[in-house]
Amino acid sequence: MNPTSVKLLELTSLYCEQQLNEEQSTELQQLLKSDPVLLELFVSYVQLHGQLSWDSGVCGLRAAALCRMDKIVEDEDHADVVADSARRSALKASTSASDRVGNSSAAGSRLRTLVGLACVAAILLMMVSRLMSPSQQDGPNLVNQEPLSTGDVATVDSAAGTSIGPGSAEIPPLPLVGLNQRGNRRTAPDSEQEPRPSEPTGPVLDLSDDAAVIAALNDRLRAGWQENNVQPVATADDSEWVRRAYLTFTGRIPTAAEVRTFLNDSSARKRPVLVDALNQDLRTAENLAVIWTNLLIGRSNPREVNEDAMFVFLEEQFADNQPWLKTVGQLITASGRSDENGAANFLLAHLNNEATPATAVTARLFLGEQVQCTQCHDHPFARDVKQTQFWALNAFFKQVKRQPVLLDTRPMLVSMQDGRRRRVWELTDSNDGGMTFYETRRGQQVAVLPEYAGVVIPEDSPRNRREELWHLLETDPDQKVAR
Amino acid sequence: MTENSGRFQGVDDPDHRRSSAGPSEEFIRLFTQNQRAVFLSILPMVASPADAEEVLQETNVVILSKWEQFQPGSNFLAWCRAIARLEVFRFRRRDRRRAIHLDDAIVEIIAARVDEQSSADFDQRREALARCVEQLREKDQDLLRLRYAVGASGDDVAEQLGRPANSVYQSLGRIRRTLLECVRRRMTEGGAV
Repeated sequence: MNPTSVKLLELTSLYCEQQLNEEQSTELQQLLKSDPVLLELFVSYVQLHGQLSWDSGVCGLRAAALCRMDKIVEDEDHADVVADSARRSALKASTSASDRVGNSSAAGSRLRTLVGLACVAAILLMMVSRLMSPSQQDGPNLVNQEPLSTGDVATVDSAAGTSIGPGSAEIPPLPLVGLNQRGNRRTAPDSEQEPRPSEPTGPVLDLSDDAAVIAALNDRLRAGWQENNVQPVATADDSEWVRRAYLTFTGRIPTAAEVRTFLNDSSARKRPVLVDALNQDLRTAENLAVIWTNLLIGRSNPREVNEDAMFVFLEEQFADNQPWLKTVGQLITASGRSDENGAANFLLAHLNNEATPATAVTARLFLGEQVQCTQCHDHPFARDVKQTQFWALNAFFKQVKRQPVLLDTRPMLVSMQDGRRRRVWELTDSNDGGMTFYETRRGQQVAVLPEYAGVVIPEDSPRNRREELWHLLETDPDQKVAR
Repeated sequence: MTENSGRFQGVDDPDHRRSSAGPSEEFIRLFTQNQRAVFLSILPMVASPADAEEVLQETNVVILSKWEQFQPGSNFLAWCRAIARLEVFRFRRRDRRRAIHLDDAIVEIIAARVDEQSSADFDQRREALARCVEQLREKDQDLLRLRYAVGASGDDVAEQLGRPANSVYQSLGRIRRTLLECVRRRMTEGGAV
C-alpha cells in the first residue's frame, strides 16, 4: 500500500474515533477530493468500523454464528411476515445452532451457542421493538400484523423468555391466578390509550395444575400457528428430543450412555420425567449461571468486575431454586465488595455514564423492555413511551457508587479461574437524594425524581432508593418480574 | 412530547385513518433486511456509529410513515438512501455541538460514492469480515471486543487497560487496516467488485 493510502487510513481511523483535529481534518478532506481511489478506501474503512459496531451491538464479535443464523432466515422461501420468520429462526436456533456446535466439546463454543440463542432472541426482540409500536391505536398498523404471543417465546431458551409486551389486540394476555386482569403495560396517567378491562376476562388458570398450564400454552401456540398460516413440523423423535433437552438444560449434548438409557426406556412419561431430573441437575444450575453471568455482566466484561463471584452467586440461586424475583432483588440492592458479594457485580458492571447502562440493562433483562432509545428522546409513535421514564428509572441508581478497594495504596487484585487478574471494587450507597437531570433533544434541562409504576419517590425520602425500587418491583400489580 | 409532531400529521391525526391495511409484508421484509445497509450508508458521512444510529432512527421514522410512496419493485435501498441523505443534512445542521469535521462538499462526494454500493456488496463483506475477524490474533480480537462493546469508546478501553489512549488508537487502526485488507482480498478472490 502506498504511503498516501496509509496516511489516508490513519486519518480515517482518527475520524472514526472522533480524534481528528482541525489540521488533520483539512488534510483528510484534501485527500478525499484528490483521488477517487482514496475516497473508496475511506468509505470502505468507515463502513468496516460500522460493521464491527453494528454486529457487536447486536451480538458481540461472535458474529460468525449470527451471520449463519441470518442466512437461514433469508434463504427460506416464505412470503410470511418478518416477525414470523424471525420467530421461526429463533425456534430453529434451538435446533440448528445446537446441532452445528453440538459436536465440539470446547467450552467456548457451548457458551457461544447459548449466548447465540439469547442473541437471536434478542434480535427478535430488537426487530420487533424497532418495528412495533407498543401503543395500540396511534402509529402505523404494523402492530396488528405481528401478534407474538408469549407462548411462542416460552419455547425459546429460558434465558430469553422475557415478555415482549402486548403485541396484539387479538390474543388476550395469559390469565393470571387470583389477580385482576390488567393490561401488561404500565400506562402514564395522561395516556390516551383505550381503557382496559379491570375484571378478569378469561378463565383463571391454576398454575399448580401442570396439565392445565400445558393445555393453555398449547392453545396459544396453536392460535399463533393459525394466525400466521404456519404448519408446525412433526413432533421430534426420541433421539432429537433427548439431545435438545440436554442442550437446553445442561448446555451440552447427552453422553452416549445417557442417550441409550433414554432410548431404551419404554415408559410413556419418560420425557416429563427427564425434564424434571434435568431441572434438578446441578449442571443445569451451572449452565443457567453461565448464561446469566454473560447477560448480566457482558462477555467482554469491560468494567473488569468479578465474573467468577457473580457466577458462584448465580449458581447458588439456581441450584436452590430461588424465586426469580428474589434473585433480581439481590442483584438490584447488593452492596459490598465484588469478591465477597457476587451479586454486587451486576451494578458494578454498569455504573458508567451516569448509570445509564444499569438503567437500560435492568429494564431489558428484568422488565422485558427495550428502553435504551428513550435515553435520548421520546418514542416517535407511542405516545406514552417517554424520555422522562428512562430517567425516572435511572434516578433509582443515583445514590450508588463504585470504588476501588485498595491494599495500602495500590489497587487490590484478585485472580479469576482463568488466571486473569481483576481489581476489587466496592459498591456503596450515599445518602444524598436530589434530582436527576437530563437533557432533551432541544437542549432543555429537565429534572426528575425516581418513579416506577406510577409511584414517585420524594426528594427527601430517607429510604435507600435501590431498596425502594426493589419494593416497587415486588408490589407492582403488573408483575413485570417473574415470581 | 411534541418535537416531531410537525412531521407526523398522518400519525397524530385520528381522522386520517388509512383506508389500506398498512405497509405490506414485502415492505416490512425489505425494511428489516435493509436496516444494516442503510446504517452503513449513513455512517461515512457522520463518523460516529452512535450518531449514525440516531440518524437511522430518524430515517426509519420517515420511511415508515411514507411507506405508501415506495414503488414496489423499485430499488428499496436507493429509496431509503435518498431519505437518509436528507436526514444526514438535517442532523449536521442541528447538532453544532458535535465536532463535524467535513465540509458539505465532501459529504456530497461521499454520498455519491455510497450510492454506487449495492446491498449484495454489503452482504458479502459481512461474511468476509466474520472470517477475517476469526483469523486475528486472540489479543487483537480481545481489543476489538472491548472497543466495540456497547457504549464503549477508545478512551474507555485505554483506561481499562491502563494504556495511553494514543497507543490504543494506534492498535485499533492497525487491526482495522489488517481487517480491511483481508476483506478486500476475499472480495476480489470471490469475484466480487
